[in-house]
Amino acid sequence: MKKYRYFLIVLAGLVFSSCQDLDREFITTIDRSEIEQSFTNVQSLLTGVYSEIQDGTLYIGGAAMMASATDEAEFTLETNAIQSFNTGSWNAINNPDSVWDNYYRGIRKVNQFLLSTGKINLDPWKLDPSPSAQAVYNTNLALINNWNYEARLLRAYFYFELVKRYGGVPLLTNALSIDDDFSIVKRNNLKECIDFITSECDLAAANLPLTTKTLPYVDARDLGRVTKLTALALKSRVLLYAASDLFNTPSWAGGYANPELISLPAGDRIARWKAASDAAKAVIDAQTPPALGAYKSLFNTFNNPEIIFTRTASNSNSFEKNNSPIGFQLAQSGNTPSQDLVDAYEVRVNSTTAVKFNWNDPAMAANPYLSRDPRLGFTVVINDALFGTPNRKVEIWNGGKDAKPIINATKTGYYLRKYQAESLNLLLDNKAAHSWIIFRYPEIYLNYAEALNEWSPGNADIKLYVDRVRFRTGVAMPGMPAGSQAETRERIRNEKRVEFAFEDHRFWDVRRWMQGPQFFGKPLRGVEVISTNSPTNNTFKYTPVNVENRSFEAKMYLYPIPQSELNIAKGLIQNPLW
Amino acid sequence: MKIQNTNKFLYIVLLSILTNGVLQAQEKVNVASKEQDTVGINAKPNFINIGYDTQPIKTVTSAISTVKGTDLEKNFNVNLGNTLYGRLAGLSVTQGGSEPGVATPGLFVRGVNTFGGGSNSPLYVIDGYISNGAGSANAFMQLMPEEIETISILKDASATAIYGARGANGVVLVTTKVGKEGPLKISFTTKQGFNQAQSLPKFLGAYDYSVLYNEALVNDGLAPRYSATDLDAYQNGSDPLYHPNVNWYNEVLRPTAPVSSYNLTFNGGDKFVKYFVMLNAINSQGLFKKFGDINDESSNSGYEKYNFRSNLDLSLSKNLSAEFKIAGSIEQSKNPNNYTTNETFSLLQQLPPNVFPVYNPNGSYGGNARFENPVANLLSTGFYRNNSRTILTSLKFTQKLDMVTKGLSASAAMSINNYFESGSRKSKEYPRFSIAPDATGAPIYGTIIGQLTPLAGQEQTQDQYRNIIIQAFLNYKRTFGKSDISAMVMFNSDNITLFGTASAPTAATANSTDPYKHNSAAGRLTYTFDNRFIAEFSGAYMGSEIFAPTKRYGFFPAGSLGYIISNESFLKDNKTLNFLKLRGSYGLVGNDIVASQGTGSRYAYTQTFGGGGYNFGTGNVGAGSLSENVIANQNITWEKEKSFNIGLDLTLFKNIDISYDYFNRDRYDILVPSTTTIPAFAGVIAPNLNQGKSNSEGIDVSLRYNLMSKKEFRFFIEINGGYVKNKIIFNSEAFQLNTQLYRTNAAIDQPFGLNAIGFYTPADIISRQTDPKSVPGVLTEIIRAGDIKYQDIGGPNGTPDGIIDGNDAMAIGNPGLPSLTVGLHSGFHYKGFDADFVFQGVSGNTVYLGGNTFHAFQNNGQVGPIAMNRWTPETAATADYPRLSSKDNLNNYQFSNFWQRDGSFIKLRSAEIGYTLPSNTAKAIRMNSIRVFATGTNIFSIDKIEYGDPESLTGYPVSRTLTMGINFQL
Repeated sequence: MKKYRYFLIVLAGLVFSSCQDLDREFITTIDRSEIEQSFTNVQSLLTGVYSEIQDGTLYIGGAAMMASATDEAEFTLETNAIQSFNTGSWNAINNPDSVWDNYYRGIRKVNQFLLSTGKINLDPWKLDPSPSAQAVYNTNLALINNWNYEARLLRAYFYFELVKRYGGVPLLTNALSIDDDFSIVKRNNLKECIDFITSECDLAAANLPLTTKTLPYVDARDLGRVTKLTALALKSRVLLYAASDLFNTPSWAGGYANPELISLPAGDRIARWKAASDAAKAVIDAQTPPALGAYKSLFNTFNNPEIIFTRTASNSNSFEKNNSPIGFQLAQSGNTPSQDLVDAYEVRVNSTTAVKFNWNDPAMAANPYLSRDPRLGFTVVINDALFGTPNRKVEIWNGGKDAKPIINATKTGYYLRKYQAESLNLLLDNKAAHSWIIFRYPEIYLNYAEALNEWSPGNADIKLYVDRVRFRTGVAMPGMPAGSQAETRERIRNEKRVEFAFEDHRFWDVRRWMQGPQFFGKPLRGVEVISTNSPTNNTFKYTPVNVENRSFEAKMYLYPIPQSELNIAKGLIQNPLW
Repeated sequence: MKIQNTNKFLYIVLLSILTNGVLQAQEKVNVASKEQDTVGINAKPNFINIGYDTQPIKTVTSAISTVKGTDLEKNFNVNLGNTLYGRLAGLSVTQGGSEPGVATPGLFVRGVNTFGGGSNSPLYVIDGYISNGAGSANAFMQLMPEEIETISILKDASATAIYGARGANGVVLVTTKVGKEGPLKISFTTKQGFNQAQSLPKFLGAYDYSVLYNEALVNDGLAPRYSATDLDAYQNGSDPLYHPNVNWYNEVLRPTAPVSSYNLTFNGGDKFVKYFVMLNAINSQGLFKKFGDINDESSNSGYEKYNFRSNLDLSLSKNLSAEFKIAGSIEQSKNPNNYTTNETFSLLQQLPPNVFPVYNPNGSYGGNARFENPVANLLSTGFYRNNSRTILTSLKFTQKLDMVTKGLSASAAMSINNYFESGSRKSKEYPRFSIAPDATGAPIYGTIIGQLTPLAGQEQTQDQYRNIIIQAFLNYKRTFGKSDISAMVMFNSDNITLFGTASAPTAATANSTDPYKHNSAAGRLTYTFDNRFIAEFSGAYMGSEIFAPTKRYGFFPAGSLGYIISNESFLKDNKTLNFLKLRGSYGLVGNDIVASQGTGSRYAYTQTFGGGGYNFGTGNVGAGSLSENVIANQNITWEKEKSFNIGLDLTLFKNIDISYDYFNRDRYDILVPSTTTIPAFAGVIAPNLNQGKSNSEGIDVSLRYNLMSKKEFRFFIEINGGYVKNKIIFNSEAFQLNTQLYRTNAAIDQPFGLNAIGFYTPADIISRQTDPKSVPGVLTEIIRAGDIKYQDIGGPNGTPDGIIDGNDAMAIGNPGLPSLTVGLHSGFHYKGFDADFVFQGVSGNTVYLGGNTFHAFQNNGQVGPIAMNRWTPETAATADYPRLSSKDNLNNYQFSNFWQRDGSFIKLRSAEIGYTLPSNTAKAIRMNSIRVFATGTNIFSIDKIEYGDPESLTGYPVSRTLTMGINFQL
């Protein structure tokens, strides 16, 4: 009997030992609580917030810019999703600019980040009495304090990006869990959103250093971060939008049951315009504004005093490949400027007078690119202009190296020059910086002028600040002439249009001015270029032609809330007319 | 519609075969002697393996099919999976290429019932121990038929519940041979023969190629490339240098390649020790020419495998016994050029016949900048040698505990298995030159393409795994009067470490080498009353480590009932109905391989951080970020399946066995995206959630007629078949305006593509010039007459928009896995002669004609005979191929039903004829028996694909193997 007992013991032992521990033998990740202990890891969490800032240079489908959904440009490839904006076939299911996800991801990161900064363990420096350690400790404390406001400012920026697209959106200041009840989440009204964003801007402005040159920021390390100036600039833009027609004219929505989601309560427009101009003036007064230097190179650097905030990125040449004239190596045409944009650049008559371009003027029509605002040449590649490395004249006349009938040649008769680092040899895979500027001084000047003109027409500051933009080194256009409030309004708007072409302002400005049908609801124009003599002779005939029919309906003033969100979160209300 | 008709047709064919068989059988029964022949061909076993135990086949209440190892010996295959075509009702076996040592077929028990990332593979169990490894590295695939007693597939929940969270995809159980008490028996078999390609893709020669290419250029509005002189030169072959006409397949492949195998087994024992020992060697040379003989820096292609097995059963004392098994295999494979032959075959399928000569006049390799020269690749880019070792060992002790209570026994077992594959790569490069004639016709050599480099070596680990399995059992079997009780409780614990996979030899990722661990306690209780009523309950409590600590363990129960009606008094001794059993089962099983194994992201319950950075500072320096990756899903769990099975087993006229099963399987908790659950404003990268549901139902049938007479003619025919239909019940899908895009309610793996509705007519093109949307078309291509026209079903607004794009996709054709699989196995024995053959037929599957074999001139490729009946203005009415285009045509070669074909086939998978010498002749040379035989494998295929094999349209060709063999027994 005894040996059976032994055997049973062995068996029992086996059973016991077979119940192995099912835990992981080794763990290759760190969890949030470990991350939150470390100064550098928490900094990396903040970097994750920055990474949600969208880069508009290769935006939709990795190629199209928002400009190609406006009267500024046409994107060459018909298969790019951006064409839905132009054909009017976008909706709550197919929206080419589907950034709802991205910005809410950024917002979640901020909400979590704000809980993390308090848990950083600084004891190694704090407990070390040596002066160097104490210096590090104090700097780190100051930086951590900064981080909170950087994160909050970025969250405000993300919210504004949502608000300008969707109107009021759910204001979430806590990270949701995947087990939460999403049906209780509702859209905040537009006023709450605007108020939230401006108050966050105020808080950030009060706590952040003025620029990345202001301690504890050090340019060498911190260039690219948001600053007090960024906070003030965002507030200026937000209040300008809040004062503009779109958010103050709910009638466009045709009896929409929830006007508070898409417009501000009826109120004192003058006060709103004044608030907008004050906010712009606050940026101007924050420091001595820098002189405006060369225009073209601005978009290939991150380090320029004119830039208030820009989206940084590693050097690349994808933008050049995407947008260069089709006859150049590796080029794909990409975003091509329209005749409508080109026509917006004034003709310089003499040092004090500039006039609108007019095709009906036979002299202008015969020589359409003569004496134009220099920014035209910095922004657009016209026929017979030099381009590229090695450079050559671009041939956009029918049959030329860069023109139809070559497949994917420009449809508008122009190519994009702005942002292009033309010195790159693409065959050698040269790369350069591309600066997607989010705020720069001229916007503030024009915000100020625009707002001022609405509540204080004739104010001398209007001309002063518009002219600052026009007088830039290398542009030096004649100053803005005196005119009625309406004429001045048009001039300011045109100035915004040419100065900020392709910088993703037009799409939103036309909407907030409620000029959608006027600008986006009519055919986009281009130019037909005919070489009138032999190809070697530089004589060309230019005729404006319609390139594409465009569609704009009232509902397009705002984006539809994504259908997938409405399906899950029953508390969300769709925007009007969608 | 067409497919269904085909199904019906197949049914009718099979039924008529069947009824014929039964009728003939009935006639024969009448003349058959009453005395049973105990050595009838393939007599059914009395006991079958039901997973950790055996049961008398008569009282089994779950759905199990079994095949004997001796049946599987009658063909020539280096991979065990390839011996199973058409063998088992409910097992679909799909050809997975034919390259020896690399390709492995897909095995699916009762079709597939999950989608997304979940595994569809059955669980492989060898002698009670889990078998691991991906593809051909799986120990199961490496076994030889000669070492196998039986292979069973466990199909329903009552059979697989003891495998708990691993049983939902069915279980393939292998029982290896053991020694039998008696004097030493030695058996030696050798097979010698050759392999050949069952079919090779066909391509047009240089003349036809050039004529068609000119036509394609003209169609695109370009100038023709080949002049009349060129065409003449191609037609009469007068200028092989500048107008070559190379059949690249002939340059690279040989018509036949030798194969051979040797098998030696020893079997015997006494009451203390019983042994079964096997040694096997198998060798299959590849179809490539012997490039290694031509150039030292290349290698002949070949595959060798050496298997051994030693199974010992020891009686240590009256009550204590032990089983010790050790088995393994060593594989060696070698290929010139690359690890596998895929790249070579894709080049061969692409190269036009006139692209360049194999060799230039000065002996250098022909070539151009676009294409490598396949002959040169095989001769001068080095070679790959792979070596893998598998070892399977196990030791099990069993102690009878009758002294505790009668019928009780206890066992303890341990198994250690290991696999290692190493690769030795030698690589080099070679120069090639394109040539053009000068004024006198002498060649001008282009600039050198590629450089000559010395042979460089690299050694690497391709794949490995190891596992340790520990088991303990308590068994109880006893009869009380009319009651029969059988009970089993067992504990299993296994620990598997995986590295990389052979198909993608990559470095192990961070988590992938963390062992996979399972614990389970399982049990089964069977109660039989009076040989009439059977009730069985089984279940497992199982835990696996890939889930969150609180979600690891689950319970998987199943129950079944059986009723042997033929044992009722009113049916006893019935002459017609000899046996009738009704059975039914219902239970819950799981599938815990919810995402691919061996990856770094396997712990979905752990939050990880990573993601894109951002640049700061005047130096624009990138800073790394820590952002949440996919949000951790603490609740992730295994797929579950509620499986219902009802069946009957029937014996008529003593010789006809019928088995029928109907099953219905509800799979749920399938891991699918959380598209309809987690809103984007939550700001997370949403995890997959256990929300998917699918259902499959179908039938398995097997019928067998045995003619066993005292006379010298014995005959059997067996038909087994399975039909299964599945569909996705819920697959969290984003809202679609184009409702035809929904995958929900479609079959699992249903292809979605464009619906071709003929060719554009010249009138269509004129209409498109004024309004492109009047006749819908793609935006990516200039559409011309003769291009394939597609149906405009939807657009961004959910309505037809005049543009053909992804919004116009719809369900087209059928999935690749057949819904109907039928096997027909038959054989006879007359005097010394015997014959045996297996047909496999499938239906309800669709194949896609893709790649250069079918898509003319794409990627500068060649053109096949399928393009001969192309669209031209003259042949517009009868054309069945779009107009030719020299460009990569983004309209005609879209994924559409134009290129789909019915994949049904009937294949003669194996056939063997043999002759056993009269026993006195054998005795004369001191042998017990001598048998000579001829075996054919993959002999022919009847199918609807004119241009290749429906299961293997690209890559290494399906091989047909013919061998002669001899078997000695003493």
